[in-house]
Amino acid sequence: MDMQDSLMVARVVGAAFAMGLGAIGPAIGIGLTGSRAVQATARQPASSGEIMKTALIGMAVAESNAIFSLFVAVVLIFVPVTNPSWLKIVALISAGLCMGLGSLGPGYGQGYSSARASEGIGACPGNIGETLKMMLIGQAVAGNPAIFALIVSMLLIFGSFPDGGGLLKGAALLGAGLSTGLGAIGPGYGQGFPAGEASWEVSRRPEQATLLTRTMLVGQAVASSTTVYALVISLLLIYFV
Amino acid sequence: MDISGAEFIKAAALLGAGICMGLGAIGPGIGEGFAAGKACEGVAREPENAGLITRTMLVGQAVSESTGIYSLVIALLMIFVV
Repeated sequence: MDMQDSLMVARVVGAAFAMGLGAIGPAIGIGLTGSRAVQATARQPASSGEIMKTALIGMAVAESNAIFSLFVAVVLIFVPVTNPSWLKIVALISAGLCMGLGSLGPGYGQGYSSARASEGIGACPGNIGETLKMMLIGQAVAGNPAIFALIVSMLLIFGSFPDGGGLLKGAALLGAGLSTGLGAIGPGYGQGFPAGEASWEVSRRPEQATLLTRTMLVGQAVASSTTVYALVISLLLIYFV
Repeated sequence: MDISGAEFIKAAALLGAGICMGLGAIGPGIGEGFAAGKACEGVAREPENAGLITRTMLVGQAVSESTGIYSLVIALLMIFVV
């Protein structure tokens, strides 16, 4: 088996990890939104149009994480490796793991936000503008960890890793993917929680929108700190080992 | 390919650094998110206590953050010291 065959094996294994793991979180999150939207519609059939609109917009945003995974999987399968080396085999599998694990948390978190927003819209369909704005701001911030995972995946896929570092560099590249991938789960899940609660509260008390946006963003900023640490460790492992 | 013991240990430390920071980030992320979510609820119900609620949230999050910082320290130690 020559190097190109080995690289192809790594590319398909990486793609399987990226899309297989990456489908879990967004699917659960979107399903949660769907179930809450059905509940809300059953309670307030009159506001079914507003509930449907909110749920569909929220589901589309939560779906973006699965689309990142799909993108990484397609790149891994179809884009030829420009700088082949034995270390690249590890880098490609690590890239797939990073994106697959990285979309678990944000997918669920963003789905939770739109689930709470749909419930809120069901109770108070008049405040759909403020609620949608709060939901989208919260979801955008909760999506950050998945974007970090996408960046690290791209660095691992397109970076050049000459065969000098041997075992050390291979372990570092695998560690880099696992660090950002696993590190995105918690913050992505956690940031969805304030986004959901803020959307729910703003649908009932739109006059508190400014205060709620501020509290939500401060809370999300602190909750995202650990994913930034994970990104820093990944970059150290890729470039300084 | 012959691998010395020291090189094997260093490789395990580098892989360990990634796993350490990755797993260590899960708990604080979820925990701090719960605190922030409940703070949003509280601020909406009692906007006049917003300052107090935000302060309590930040203290709780800071304590919850500590295990994430332990993971960061251990990961940096494994990269640069081991």
